[in-house]
Amino acid sequence: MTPLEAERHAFSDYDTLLDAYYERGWTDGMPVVPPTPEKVEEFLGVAGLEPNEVLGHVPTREVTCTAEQAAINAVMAGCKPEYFPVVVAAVRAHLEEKGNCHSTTGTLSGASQCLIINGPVRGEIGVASQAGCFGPGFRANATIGRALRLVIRNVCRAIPGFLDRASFSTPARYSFCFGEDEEESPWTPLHVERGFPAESSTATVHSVMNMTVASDSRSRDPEGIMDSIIKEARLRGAGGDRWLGEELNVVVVVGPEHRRYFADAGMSKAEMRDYLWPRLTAPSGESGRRLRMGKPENLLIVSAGGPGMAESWILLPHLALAITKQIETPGR
Amino acid sequence: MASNEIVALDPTSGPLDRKDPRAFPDRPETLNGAVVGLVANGLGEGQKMMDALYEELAKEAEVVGAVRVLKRSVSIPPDPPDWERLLSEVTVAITGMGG
Repeated sequence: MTPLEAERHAFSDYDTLLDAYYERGWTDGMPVVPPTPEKVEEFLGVAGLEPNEVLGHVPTREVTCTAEQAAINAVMAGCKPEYFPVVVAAVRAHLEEKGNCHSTTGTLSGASQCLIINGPVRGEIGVASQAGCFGPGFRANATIGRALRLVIRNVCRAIPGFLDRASFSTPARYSFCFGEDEEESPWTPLHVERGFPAESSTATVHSVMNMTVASDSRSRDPEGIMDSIIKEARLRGAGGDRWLGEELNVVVVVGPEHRRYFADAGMSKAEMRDYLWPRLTAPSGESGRRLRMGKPENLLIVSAGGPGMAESWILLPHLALAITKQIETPGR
Repeated sequence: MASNEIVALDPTSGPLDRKDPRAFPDRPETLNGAVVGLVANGLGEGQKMMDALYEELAKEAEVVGAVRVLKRSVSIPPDPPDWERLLSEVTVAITGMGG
C-alpha cells in the first residue's frame, strides 16, 4: 500500500484530541474514534483500496474524495473495518454527477441522504431492516450513515453556515441508513430491480427533501393502502427539475402490516407501480399536488420496518437521482 | 513523549488547490464604468434582490448598465445565448444560491 497522505497531528490524550477535532470543525458535534494511521490502513486493506483511489468529485467545490479520506471519516464515525466497503459504495453513489452533492448538501431546505442497503452484506455486518431500522440502536446503520455524513462535511465541505446553507437542517443528517428486509418481503429486492445480481450487495443513496408517513390501519386490501400512500404523498408533491429531467425518484418504504395485504393479493412491485404512478403523477388539483416522475420505474418500493403500526413511509426527493452502487469486497 | 499520545489524521480534503486552471480571474479594482451581469436562479424573489443589489452598487460606483439573466432552472447553468451575452457584454457578473 502506498503511504497515507493526510496531515498527521499528535495529541497528548483522547480528551485533547476530541476537543481539537471539535474546535477545528471536524466532527458532527459528537465524539469520534481517533483516525490513527494504523486503523485507516486496516480499513483500506479490507476494501482492497490504495489511499489515493479516487471515489468521486464535487467540481463546484474543487473537491476530490479519495479512499484515504473516506476511510479516515469512517474510522471517526465508529465503523468496523468490515463496514468500509459499504461506505465506499455510498460515497461513490453520492458523488455521481446526478447524486448532485453540491445542491443536496448546500440547499436551504436541509435535505438528507438516505442510504438503503441490499444483499447478503446486511446479514454479514448486521444492518437492521426490521423494527426500529430508521432509528438508533444498530451499530452498522448508525456508523455507516454517519460516515457518509462526515465525508460530506469534512471532505465535501458541507459545513453549516459555510457551504451547508440549511435554514433548519434535520436530525436525519446525523445518520440515515437501513437495509431492505428482503427475507420478509414478497417482492423482488430493490437492487435486483435496478439490474444487480441477487447475490450481490449494493448501497443506494437517495436524497430526501421530506419524509412523510402513510398511516392506515383500516384498509384491508392493497388498493386502500395505496390510496392512503397517494393521498399522503400528494399533500407534499414533488417538483420537477429540468436538469434531472424525467428521472426523479420517489422511495416508498412499505412496513410489514401493509406488506402482508400485498402478499395475500399476490401483487408485485410492478403491479403496485401500475396503480400508484398515474395517480401520483396526475396534474395538481383537488386531489393534491403532482409528483413529477417520468416513468413508473422511478418509483422505488422497499420493504422495511417492524410489526405494530400499519405504516408506509414516503421519502420525497431533493434535486438528485437515487444512485445504486455495488459493494465490492475483495476475496468475498 | 507521553505514553497516552495519539497520532491521528486530518479528515478534510485540505485547502483549496488554487493551481486549478479554473482559478478565479482577477477582480476589477473599481466598478466605475462597469456593466454588471445579474444572474438570477429563479427561486423566490431572486430577481428583485438582484435589482436591489444593483441599485446599491450604483450608489457606490459609476456603473453604466446591467445585463439581467434568469436561469430556466436552479440546477442548470444559463442557456448558451445568455452565456454569450454575459461573456461579451458584462464587466463583472453576480450570481447566488437560495430563494
